[in-house]
Amino acid sequence: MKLLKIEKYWLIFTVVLFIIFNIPGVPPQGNVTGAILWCVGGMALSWIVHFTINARIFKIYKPRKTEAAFLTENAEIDRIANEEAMAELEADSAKQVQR
Amino acid sequence: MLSFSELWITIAAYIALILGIGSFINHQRSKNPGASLFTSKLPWFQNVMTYIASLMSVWLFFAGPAGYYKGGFTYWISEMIWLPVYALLAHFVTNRIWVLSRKRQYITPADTFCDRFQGPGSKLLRAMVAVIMMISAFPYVTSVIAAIAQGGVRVSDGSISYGAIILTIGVAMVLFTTIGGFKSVALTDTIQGILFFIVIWLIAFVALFYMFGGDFFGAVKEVYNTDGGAFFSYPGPYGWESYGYRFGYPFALIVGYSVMLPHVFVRACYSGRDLKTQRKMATWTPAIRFLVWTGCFIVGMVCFAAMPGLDSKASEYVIPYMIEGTIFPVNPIFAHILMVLFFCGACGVGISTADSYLLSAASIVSDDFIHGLLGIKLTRKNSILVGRIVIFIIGMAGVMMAINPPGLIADMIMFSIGITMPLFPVLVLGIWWKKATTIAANTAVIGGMIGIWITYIVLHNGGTYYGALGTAISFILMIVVSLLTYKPEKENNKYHEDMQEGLDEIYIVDPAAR
Repeated sequence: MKLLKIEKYWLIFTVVLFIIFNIPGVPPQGNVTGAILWCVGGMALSWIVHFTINARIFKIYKPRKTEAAFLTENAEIDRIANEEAMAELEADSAKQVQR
Repeated sequence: MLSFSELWITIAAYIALILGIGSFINHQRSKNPGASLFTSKLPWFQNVMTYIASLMSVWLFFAGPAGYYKGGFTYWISEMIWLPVYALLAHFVTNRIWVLSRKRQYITPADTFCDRFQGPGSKLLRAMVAVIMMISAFPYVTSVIAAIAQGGVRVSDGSISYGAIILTIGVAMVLFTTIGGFKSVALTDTIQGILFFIVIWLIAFVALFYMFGGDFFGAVKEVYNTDGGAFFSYPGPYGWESYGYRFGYPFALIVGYSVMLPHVFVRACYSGRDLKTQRKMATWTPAIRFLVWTGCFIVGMVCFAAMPGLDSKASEYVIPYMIEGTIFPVNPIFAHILMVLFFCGACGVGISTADSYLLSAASIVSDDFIHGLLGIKLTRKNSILVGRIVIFIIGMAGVMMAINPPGLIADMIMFSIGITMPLFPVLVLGIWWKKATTIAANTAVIGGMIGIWITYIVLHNGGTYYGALGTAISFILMIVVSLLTYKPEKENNKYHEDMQEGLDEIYIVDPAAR
């Protein structure tokens, strides 16, 4: 599973932002303007970059299956589970009859 | 403020609603014998809402406003800034597990771990993951029931006893989860999620309107004047938001809260109906969480401006204080309605978390312990029966613990989150690194738990760093021990091939991006 370039940038951005945002002493304690700029700037950067990259990832990783195909698969999984459950119930009642 | 009968009518109506939904879903399931009590495939809106509702817990109406009251603006930002990281986690972690889950029908979080790590010690890993998840369940369930009961006592001015509310709400919650299972929990989560979203914003607007005539900037100015700007700077008005806490708390939220809590893990990784659901989860959950928390922040901030100087315990009840002290003297009928809504919202947000947790805990006992470790194969019918018994036992144990709960609600919830964090490196390295070994996974989990113990017991720093040290130890051990013990023949080499195959089945990757 090789990472795409954009995936590498995404990971690096997140780690670097986390480290930079958490540099101790920045902004200094009690500094209102510094704290507001630091916080709002960090938040805007985080939201814009994450959502932009995420949207790009959605375009790169195009869905191969339609929603209907997923639903058909789910229905098949449910059908098998129901059949197994019915078989278990029948085996149970057969045992009880034997007793 | 609410009379004895008003509160009991509220509780009875609420219980009737959730039990009604539980019974309806149970009736539906009886037509479908293969349906599981513990899992289901959900459409995107329901999956997003059950994820959000199971995350929120009573934090939203109690510890949340208190947190913003004490932590201030920088505390709110420390949560908001990292919410979109969920999109990254979804892409790199949860969606990959979801792809395999479709093929292998995972039920509990340990199923993922033990599917990847099938070498010697796999059973030990299942046991440890299951035990950690179970341990995290008790403080969460307990804190939820305790908070609802404390809230009930508070809104009724003590006319109803704490024990009576605990028993009533606790038993109703256990019955509801026992009867309905995952599907009914998801449905009520959706309804309750919408309810508490509306209620928290209603309270925020009402607080702003009644205390500052609807002038948001007037409230901000008042907050600034109250404490000379401490609310808007580090470390916040109560000294909460230290630089260490600014790192430790969001880290716990990203790793533990967003993915690793068992009930959250199941929703993020297993219950999506299709790829669209998984993608909507990645984009919508951060946005909805932002809106919900921001409503909660406005409540905390406005209450800070109007009622400064509350201590830690009292600050968890800023909403009832505000309704009682500010709205009731002006408009008693509206105050009553608001108090009922507050209590219903608190019940909704709390029960939606606790029932999700109960269900996860029951599936862990039924699937991990009875089936996975003891090797007892249960029929579906017996599995549902055992699950129900386990839900009842765990739920009632939570109720008993809630009668004499330890410490603050916030502390209990955060411990639950912290203890699951060291499992994260095991999960991620298991997905992304073929050389990660089962022995390393076991060592990492044990090392991570030692890290938690050191943080909480030796250093007494649990309230600042939570599971950060445990996660770091787990990560290092995972790499070092894997490098020392990797033997391809002893590991599940098919895992990564199957995952790649699954990804190839659902995605077409744009070749230009390679």
